[in-house]
Amino acid sequence: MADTRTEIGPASVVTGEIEAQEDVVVFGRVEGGVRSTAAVVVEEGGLARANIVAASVVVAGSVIGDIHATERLEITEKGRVLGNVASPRLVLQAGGAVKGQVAMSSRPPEAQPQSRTYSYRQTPGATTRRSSTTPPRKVVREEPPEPQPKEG
Amino acid sequence: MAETVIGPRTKVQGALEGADRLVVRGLVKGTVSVDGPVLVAPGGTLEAEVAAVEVAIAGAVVGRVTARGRVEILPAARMVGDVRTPRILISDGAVFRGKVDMDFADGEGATHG
Amino acid sequence: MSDEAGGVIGKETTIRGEVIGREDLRVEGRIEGTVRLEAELIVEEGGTVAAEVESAALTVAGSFDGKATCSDLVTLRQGSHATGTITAPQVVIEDGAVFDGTLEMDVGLDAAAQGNG
Repeated sequence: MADTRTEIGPASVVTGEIEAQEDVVVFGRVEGGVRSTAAVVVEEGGLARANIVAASVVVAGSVIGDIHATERLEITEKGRVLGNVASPRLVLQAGGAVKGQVAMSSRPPEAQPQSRTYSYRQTPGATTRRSSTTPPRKVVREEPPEPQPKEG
Repeated sequence: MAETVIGPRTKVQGALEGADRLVVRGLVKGTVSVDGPVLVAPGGTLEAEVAAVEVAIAGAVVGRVTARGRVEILPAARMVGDVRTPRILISDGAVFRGKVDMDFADGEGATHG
Repeated sequence: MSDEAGGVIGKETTIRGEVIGREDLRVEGRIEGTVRLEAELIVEEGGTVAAEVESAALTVAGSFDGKATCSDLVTLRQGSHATGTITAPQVVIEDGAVFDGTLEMDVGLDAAAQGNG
């Protein structure tokens, strides 16, 4: 269902692993890992000290960890990533910052999105959210190399 | 009050704590410590040690629930575990197996013993 | 042909060596070596810079391979290909740019910190 999702509230902390077949939006904090076959969004003010693997990832908050997006990764003007990122498509907005390796070519071109251009943002002044009208589809991807944990 | 919602297609394994209302539509395994209400929605599953202010159960819970306010076990609920709370409502139709301890001293913190 | 100040390395031109300047430099051809510019280095579509670059700004619409250290803004345009290390206070990567390498930006986070959550 494209209309259900998981939200971690601004005053909440999940210490552990989140695994989803729907969008996961982090307003609060996640310490551990987040995997989704859909989108993972770390909102402004949100913090993920976690490795993130998803079809689409949007960072408007802070991520300490590796990010692997099979379709698209966007770091917005307030987004901060300390870690390695891999995605066939990457958008780094003015104001956003990344410190780490960036790998875009190592994924095969079949990872290009076809039926779904998903861009999610909650805060105003950003792109509008377009819900996917396509039925949820199985994301076929190779197992990414095990990312290194980014704990200090 | 802001919310944390665990969606129907989400599994959380670990500790979930905070001050937002928690709604579980998916699966949470581990521990839950919420300074506020917790709702296990129909279809939701909580396999955890839970400490909260209020807990309303319309889904499945396996674990111990401590609520300093109250616990409602609603008609669709299936619960296995002990409950400690000063006020409890167990609806007709609910399936519940466990002990209920209503001896709750005033102002005793439930968010973690 | 523009009248604006700055240099242009034409499409059929290759420079191997050190390029130093104080005005914007547009590269339609090729530079291999070192570039030190107190202004902006612009790698046009079709242009290639394989070099160690120190400049105020860098815009890549073509190909860049090397190490870029910029005091201002680095922009990787749609269709560009860049590899190597980019160090700058501000970097913009457009949708459709391809980059493989390392970004060294100040993120204000450290692995052990709580962050701005």
